[in-house]
Amino acid sequence: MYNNPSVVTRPRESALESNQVLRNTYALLSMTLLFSALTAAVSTYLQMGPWTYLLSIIGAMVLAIFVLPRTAHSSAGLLVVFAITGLFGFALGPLLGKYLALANGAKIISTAFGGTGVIFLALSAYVLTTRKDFSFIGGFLMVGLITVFILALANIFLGLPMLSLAISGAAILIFSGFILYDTSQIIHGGETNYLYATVNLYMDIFNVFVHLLQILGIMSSDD
Amino acid sequence: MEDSTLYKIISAVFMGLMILYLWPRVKRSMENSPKGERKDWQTLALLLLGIAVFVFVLVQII
Repeated sequence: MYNNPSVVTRPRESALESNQVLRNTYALLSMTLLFSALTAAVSTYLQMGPWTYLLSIIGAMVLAIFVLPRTAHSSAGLLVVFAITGLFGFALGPLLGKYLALANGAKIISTAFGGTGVIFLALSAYVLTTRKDFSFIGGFLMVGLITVFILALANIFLGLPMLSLAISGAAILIFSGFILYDTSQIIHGGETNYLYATVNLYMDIFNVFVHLLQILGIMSSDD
Repeated sequence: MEDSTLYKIISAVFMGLMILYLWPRVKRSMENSPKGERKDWQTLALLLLGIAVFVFVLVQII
């Protein structure tokens, strides 16, 4: 039984493949985060109008939903990933500009940025060291995500600050859960395409950052 | 039509389309997700509680 090479090598090959996906994902994630920081800086410098946020997010989601699946197994997929993350970064321009205009805006942005980094590193380190399988939270996270979307849709017209705060709080917890889930999927072989893995983790980080910025902005205002 | 009203309408349409796109995935995830044990859910709850406390600390700092 122990001489059968397929018994011994298959899990090992699978582990090597997972490590390769993880390495490629983190390398590409670092590059896309730097690239989106650059596009965010350009968008802030150019003082882009309020429509920039909505149109860039729509453009990025159209690419992620319709174009990435067609290119994810070719080198063109890499360009699509940079286009998606570049658009997400560009979307941040008006938001960052709004906060920079506040007296403590730079502090709010740097705190949200640092906080997002700590959350991502801590949760990733937890999954990578314990190698715990978080696939059981998939359904829970999807239900949470759609609930947040429905509440956000209602609040577009209601415009309630307290609901906005609650939505941001829930979104941080849900996307923190997605960081656990997506990292776990990579190391347990549930996600074998590093382009998808990068976009998933990038969106988790982006959403934690935006909602943390929102909470810190609301809580630090005197109104 | 006012610019802000148009912005709200386009945001709402986009959100609505995202909900429609996510709906089948939610149903699929609910049906296919493996069931976690009590200990697994406790671990998740502790981790998310840690995140909530961390965000609270950040709010106090700012």
